[in-house]
Amino acid sequence: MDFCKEFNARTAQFIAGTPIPARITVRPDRSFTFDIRTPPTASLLFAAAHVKEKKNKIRGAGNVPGPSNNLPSAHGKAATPGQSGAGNGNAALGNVGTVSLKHVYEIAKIKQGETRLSGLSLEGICRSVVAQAGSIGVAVVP
Amino acid sequence: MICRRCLLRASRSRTLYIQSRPSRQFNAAASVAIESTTLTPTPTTAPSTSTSTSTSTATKPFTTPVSLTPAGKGLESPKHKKEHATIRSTIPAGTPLKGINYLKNKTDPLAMEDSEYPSWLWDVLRPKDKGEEGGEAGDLYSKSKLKRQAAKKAAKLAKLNPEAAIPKVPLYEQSIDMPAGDGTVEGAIEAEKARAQLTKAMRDKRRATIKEVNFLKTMS
Repeated sequence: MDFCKEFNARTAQFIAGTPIPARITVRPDRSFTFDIRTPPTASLLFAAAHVKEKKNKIRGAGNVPGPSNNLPSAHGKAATPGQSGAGNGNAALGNVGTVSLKHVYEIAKIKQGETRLSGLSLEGICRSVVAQAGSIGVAVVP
Repeated sequence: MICRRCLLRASRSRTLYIQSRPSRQFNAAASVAIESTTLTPTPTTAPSTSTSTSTSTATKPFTTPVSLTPAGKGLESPKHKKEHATIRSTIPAGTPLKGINYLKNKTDPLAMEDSEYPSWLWDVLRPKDKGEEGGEAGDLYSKSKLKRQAAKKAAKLAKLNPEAAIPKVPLYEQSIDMPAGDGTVEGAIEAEKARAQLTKAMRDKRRATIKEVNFLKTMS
């Protein structure tokens, strides 16, 4: 109960609906501390790419082309004949949206604001964001 | 007539020179020794103005180590051609980057000019250079397919050119005397290189042995 109150108080300045990870440390005497992190990179990428909800949830692509071939038109291995275009989910999609490098830069700056990532170089974080975009099916263009 | 002050100054400078000479030679020798062992270009301290004006011969020991160092090894590597001029962002400057902001009291950041972003940002999409390929030569039964193919190719070439197929005797099995250096800096550097080569060859051998033993352990 205490946690909920304190968490709500600490996340009051965030727009409602933003997923916020919190790292909680519980001591043996049942007291606890927690620190607020920045939103997950995946959620920031999905928001920047304006990905729509599918089956009540924002989902990435299920047929991503791989990290070195992450282009807006690309997709992974061809779906088997029985599965081609199957369903209304993202399973057969190569990617679900597109972000620009400027978005990636801003996301990297947000992530660097986190204490545990503040020691990393912005370039390294940008590369990580690009890699994650590749694995969740968000194409990155210049 | 020579004024007394000039005479005094001249005598003082000579004594300085005589005093400083052995110490500087020692310094120069030390720097040479360092370079012969590590082969890193150590910046030798420039001699002070009073000593450099005294004689030109005194500065000679300083010039030799500088000439011995590999001249700008890293500088000679071909630089990557930047294609920043051709890359144009799809987002024009001034467009709000929607969906980035998650704070209530702030708005989405505006896109800046392409030139205002750091130059490395436009290289992020290009895959990093892998550096050199794995130096270890594989055999026909390597885990890596690339290495297996390379070994196959090498075997094919060896068939065509049997002279090249004569097995090389590894360095650690050759009974030759190591060069001990002939007192000169060049000799010392040569000797150090030979020792380093032998060390590397023995290390590779040990690693191969360890790999083999570990593999055989998994079989039992």
